[in-house]
Amino acid sequence: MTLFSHRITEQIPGLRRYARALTGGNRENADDLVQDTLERAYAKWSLFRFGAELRPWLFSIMHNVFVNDVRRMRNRVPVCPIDEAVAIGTPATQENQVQVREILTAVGRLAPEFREVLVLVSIEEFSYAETARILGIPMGTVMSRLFRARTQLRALTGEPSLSDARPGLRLVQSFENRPHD
Amino acid sequence: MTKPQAPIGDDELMAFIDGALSPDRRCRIEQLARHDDELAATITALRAQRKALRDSLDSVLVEPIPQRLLRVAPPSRYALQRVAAAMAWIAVGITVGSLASWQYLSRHDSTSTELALVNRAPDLPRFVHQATVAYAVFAPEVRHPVELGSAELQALNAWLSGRLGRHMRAPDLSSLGFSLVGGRLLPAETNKPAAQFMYEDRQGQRLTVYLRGMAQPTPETAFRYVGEGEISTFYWVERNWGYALSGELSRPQLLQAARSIYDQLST
Repeated sequence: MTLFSHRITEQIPGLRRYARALTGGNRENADDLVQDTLERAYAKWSLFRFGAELRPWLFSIMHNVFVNDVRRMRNRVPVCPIDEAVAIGTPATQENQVQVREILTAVGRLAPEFREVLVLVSIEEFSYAETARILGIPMGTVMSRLFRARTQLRALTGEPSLSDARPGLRLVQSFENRPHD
Repeated sequence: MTKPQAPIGDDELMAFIDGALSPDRRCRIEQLARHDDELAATITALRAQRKALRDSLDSVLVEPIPQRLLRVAPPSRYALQRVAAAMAWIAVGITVGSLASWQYLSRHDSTSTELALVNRAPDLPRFVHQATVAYAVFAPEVRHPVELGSAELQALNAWLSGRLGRHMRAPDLSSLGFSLVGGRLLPAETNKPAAQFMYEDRQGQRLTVYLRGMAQPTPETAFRYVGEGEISTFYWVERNWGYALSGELSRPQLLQAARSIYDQLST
């Protein structure tokens, strides 16, 4: 058990990063999410198969906690004020900080299920197959969500969309009413 | 003249951006992009976006972990049993103590119970924190940076080896331009004191090497990096010994020094 909690502690920085991205950069909300995840992980640790990989297991727990939170909040997924402290540790130029805020705010505006795929692949660098397992969705869905997430993010950060020939972007507003998958 | 090729699907484009394509499919896209400005621009933008996303949250990894997250503890029956056992022993101690008027015994018992509770928390984050704090306290020190200076190197090695219970010599970092200032003994965990060696280059830039036995069985790790403010630390665990190198140098410089220390201090 001590060994197990030690291994979990090692994963906290990565979980905090994922949570920070999911909450659009809000530190408090992100750490709440991490705390809930850790509590669930400890409560369920007997279900963890030793020898299995701990990191995807913890991320899948965080996914469940996050989805429940989103449901509970009735889609009032906040576009939260970005924490000042986001850029701690990297001596960032002001311009740089502005970019950091912009991109995290934009991520926070994506529909939750797009946000998850985007962050797991782009930031946490899980493979498509791992991402599919963590989220419990088919790999094809991972790919299509990823494409849409990236396209929307480009639009939100003021870049032209991937191609003008493509059908116009539709920002997905709610988790329940998502148009496909 | 190349044959007209099928356009690139969305999925394929994503896999290209994420480096998940086989070499020949990757080549195909690279070739197409050479003749298709729009595709090339899209690729550039998507790559930049991916990098921006990663960079935006890099700093979270080196932030100190908030206490409330470290406090989330396993609801362990085992831990409860241990607390119960400890309490039983305190009761025994108090009874014996009052019967025989041995006040000392009961006090002694409750102290070790408190220590036992502290020791249940994971040791590795504590180790890294202690190493960083030791650097922050002693590296700026002008008059007494060390307890025993490098002039008494043999005595220093013998003393710290004795107190830590293992043979060791202060690593030599002269090839990297750092000379040994000296070392000191530091309190850390019960029965696990720590040693700190300090080094200095010609500009007065200081490095410290901090090591101690881990308070719990701790899996071995590769080099890990953590930054707290200006101070950067590389740390690793080998055969239940924790090592940490702290300084205000660039990451590559520090890594080079860490490698050298690793080679010299391996048990």
